[in-house]
Amino acid sequence: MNSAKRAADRPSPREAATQAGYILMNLLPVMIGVLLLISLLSQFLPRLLEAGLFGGSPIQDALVGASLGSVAAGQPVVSYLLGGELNGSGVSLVGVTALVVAWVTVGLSHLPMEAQVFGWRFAVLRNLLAFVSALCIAFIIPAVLHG
Amino acid sequence: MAEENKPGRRASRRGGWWFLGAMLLLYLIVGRLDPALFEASLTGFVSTLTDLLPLFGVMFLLLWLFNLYVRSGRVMKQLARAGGMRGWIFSVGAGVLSMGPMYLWYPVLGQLRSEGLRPGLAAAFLYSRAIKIPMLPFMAHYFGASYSALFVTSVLLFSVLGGAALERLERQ
Repeated sequence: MNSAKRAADRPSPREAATQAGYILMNLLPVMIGVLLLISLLSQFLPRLLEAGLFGGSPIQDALVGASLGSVAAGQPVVSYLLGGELNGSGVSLVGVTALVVAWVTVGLSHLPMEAQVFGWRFAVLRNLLAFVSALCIAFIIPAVLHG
Repeated sequence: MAEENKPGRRASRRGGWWFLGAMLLLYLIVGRLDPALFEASLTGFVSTLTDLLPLFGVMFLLLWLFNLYVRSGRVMKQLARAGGMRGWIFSVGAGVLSMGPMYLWYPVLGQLRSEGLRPGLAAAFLYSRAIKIPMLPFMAHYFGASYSALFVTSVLLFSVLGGAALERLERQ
């Protein structure tokens, strides 16, 4: 009985494909736009590295990456594209990982909305903990990967 | 995942096209002002897009499977009732399976909170949303499979650690 109800709730393969296409079509212009932007900005990345935005000590890279990721908003996949291009341009894996993790876990742009639902104490504490954990993960992953 | 089809999503969908339009306009301006920069950027764009093209197919397939088999509403109902270890598993699982922008989930979480959802579980849900299974092929493409596996493991671990720490701090 339950499995029959579950099957009735489930969309048909065609409906599921339409929904998937809809989501992909929503993401596609953003992803192509971001790729265009990254391709343009990556021409300036060596100069940004020389200017000292990244490329300092690992702690500095992690702090810069996590701070940039905290204020950024958007699809996680955008942070993968950006992080991948930054890493390819010579930014350390620590800095890039901090950026990617903070991008998807810290939500400064959502803070007022989160506070409205859960209260300011919860929202601030959660985002602070997410920021600290982004720094921790930024060091854990490269350490495990490179032994 | 049905929330993706709500009329409220139209504005953000248009926003994506506006953003793409702005980038194309930027390229037109750059093309006029600095043809060398334009050519280098366009070459980089075409090369990256060609690399990523097959991943869009993988992403579509994963999204299709998610739409077909995952009913996040049912998981959320379980989340409000679950406690102990089951609660953590449900909150992290629901976070991983949840799709759509965060602002659509706050009202749902607010409702669950009023029904007794623990703050730690809410925090674990919010944190584990960092894992988006249909988008992982892109991460693996740039950073490798080992990195992606470590990323997923770390986020799952820190979802629970962060949730537990927050619950402790909230009690003080």
